[in-house]
Amino acid sequence: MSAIQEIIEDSGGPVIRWGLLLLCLAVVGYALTNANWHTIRGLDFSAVWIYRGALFNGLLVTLGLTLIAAAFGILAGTVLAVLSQSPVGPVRWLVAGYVEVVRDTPLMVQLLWIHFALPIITGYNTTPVESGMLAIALHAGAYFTEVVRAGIQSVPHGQWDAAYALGLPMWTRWTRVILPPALRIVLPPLASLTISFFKGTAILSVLQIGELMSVAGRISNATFRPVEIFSFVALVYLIIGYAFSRLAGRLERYMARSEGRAS
Amino acid sequence: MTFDFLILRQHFPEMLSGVVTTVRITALSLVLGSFGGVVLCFGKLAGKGIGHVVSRFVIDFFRTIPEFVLIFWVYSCLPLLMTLRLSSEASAILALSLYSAAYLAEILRAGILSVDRGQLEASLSLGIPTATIWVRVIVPPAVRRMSPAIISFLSELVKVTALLSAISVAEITYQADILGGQTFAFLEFLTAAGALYFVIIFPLSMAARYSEHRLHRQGVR
Amino acid sequence: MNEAAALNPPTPSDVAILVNDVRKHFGDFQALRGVSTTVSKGEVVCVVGPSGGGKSTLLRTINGLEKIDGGSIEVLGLKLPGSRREIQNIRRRVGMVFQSFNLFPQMTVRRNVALAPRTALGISRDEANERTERLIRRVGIFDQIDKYPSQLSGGQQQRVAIARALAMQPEIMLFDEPTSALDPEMVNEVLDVMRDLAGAGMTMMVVTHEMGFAREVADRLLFVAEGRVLADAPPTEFFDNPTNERHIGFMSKIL
Repeated sequence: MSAIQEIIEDSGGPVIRWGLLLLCLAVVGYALTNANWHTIRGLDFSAVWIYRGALFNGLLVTLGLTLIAAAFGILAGTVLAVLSQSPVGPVRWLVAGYVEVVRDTPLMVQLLWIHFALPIITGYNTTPVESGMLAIALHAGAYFTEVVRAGIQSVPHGQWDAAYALGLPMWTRWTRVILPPALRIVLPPLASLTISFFKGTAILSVLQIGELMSVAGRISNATFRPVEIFSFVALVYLIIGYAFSRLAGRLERYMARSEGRAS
Repeated sequence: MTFDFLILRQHFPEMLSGVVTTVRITALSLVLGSFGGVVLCFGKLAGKGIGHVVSRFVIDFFRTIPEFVLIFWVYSCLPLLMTLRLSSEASAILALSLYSAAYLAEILRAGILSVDRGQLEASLSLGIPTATIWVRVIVPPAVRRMSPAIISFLSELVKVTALLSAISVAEITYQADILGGQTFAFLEFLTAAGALYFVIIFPLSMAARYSEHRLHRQGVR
Repeated sequence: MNEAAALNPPTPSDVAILVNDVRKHFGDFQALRGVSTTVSKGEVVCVVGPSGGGKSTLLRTINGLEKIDGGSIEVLGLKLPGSRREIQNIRRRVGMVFQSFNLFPQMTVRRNVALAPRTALGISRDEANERTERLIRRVGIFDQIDKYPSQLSGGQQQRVAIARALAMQPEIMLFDEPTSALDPEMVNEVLDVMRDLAGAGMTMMVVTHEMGFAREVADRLLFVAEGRVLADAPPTEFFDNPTNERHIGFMSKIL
């Protein structure tokens, strides 16, 4: 037993465990006594099966949006991260401003703004799908910029010095010396960002753009079976989210090991 | 195209009430979530077998599920499954408290486990009573190490409250949306909404960064 | 195989530490494979040997920081393996000094030393202060008493650590490579304190690489390698008459 475990155990290990048990029992008891048995008995999951096609399509849209977010994010993020190191002041400020504003406001507000407020400025009405993709892409760009920037800054200074000393042109310097290790360091946080964007696609459902949550909403309205549909959908998000997390964890461990070998 | 500041001034009370609601829900969820977080954290640290499994499951569950899905489910499905009735705001607070508890539990756990092992061994060897070890040896460095994460989480929580607009909770986004719908001044109200969130979150973001910076300067120990 | 040097077999009341056939493993790795030895009251025993050989592990089993998997230990009459209460009692009477000092960074030197007596023994603030100042003076850092550990050198920090352990008025002091983390010029200030402590009659068990110190101060040296005691003798015999291959090998490497 390590020191901290010993200390925690000393602090009343048995008390904590019994307390937790009582708490669980209390919660379960409360749930059981306040359950609406009539509804529960009447649950009919066949609605899920009937609409499996639509739900599956919704899932594909969700995954597609996630991919778009990740792809655009990495691309724009890399470009902007490089720009953020620019010696030109205004360029740096612009990138910093964009990143800060997008990161410090909710995706929901950005989505509504793009769909309802932007048309007033541009005179062009975007469809819900366009608004959704734009919103999530812009959101992704800002977050990925931060991550890539951190990755760039974590490249040991020695590499920069070597690149300069060897007289490498800027393009080569970036693509062969700086970005490869930066991107490798950045892969695990990138993975976890992608997962959070996967979760974020659900927000886009307020505009009914056809991803999983929007589809669920429409089916639920059509069948009057919200519990079955939304619970199933929640389960889908959970399973996929959990699977992604495990993969990301595996990736992180793999990166940690290969770092030792490569460098 | 002009920006109509006047209309913002006219509807200032509604927007303000939105801010109050946002702050209120954030605060309540944070407080309740803190209690839940402590329980879950210690459940995971001290629990043997079933206690540990349940805590881990609960934490993973509320960290994996999309916030929007959780909020929506609590609002639309839970009342059907239960005989009790919750208002929109109450279901919002329930959902966000659970969400907060899960995240805070992990932050707390990381903070506690980050305390230098050597100091704990020294404390044990000296025979210092357990309560004192917690208060004098574990809590001070743990709090310092958790600060950036907690502040970051707080800004995340504020952003999540925007999702409550979808379940008719009268927070900032909801008000902006409704007022926009009434007056067609979407540009003004949604921009104002964004600005309000920014004004709240930007300082938090800076505080988190400052806190992190201070940690690294003192040498992450 | 254990070799116990039988000078004058200690009588039961003389025995401070009795280690009997102790075994300890970490996963697949056998750290201690049946270690036996005794330390009498007032004795200074230095434990030497190659890294990873089990020296520190042995030391840490004595105050319960490592739980043993086999055999038994008796410290001042208290038995291990034991209950939480028994382990706590042992720790009250045994002090430990670590290689990495382990001072509490958020407390001044004064608070570091006074914390344990105040909270564990419940002595008054005045008495704690008096004791703290006396000990800080004894280890020679009185002018630093209100500084924080980060403001002190390694040697100073370790001396504070020794004072902190002594503040609990232990009957035995365990030292786990106390000078290994110090720059060479600071090693002596710590060894001086330890020498002084030994001279005052403290029962000490010291894991160390400082052979000069061991030869000069120890009553006995224990050579621990591969989880076993391979030699156990007073300094002259230990250094001049190594008895087995490993012992000879070790001697040749360090001298």
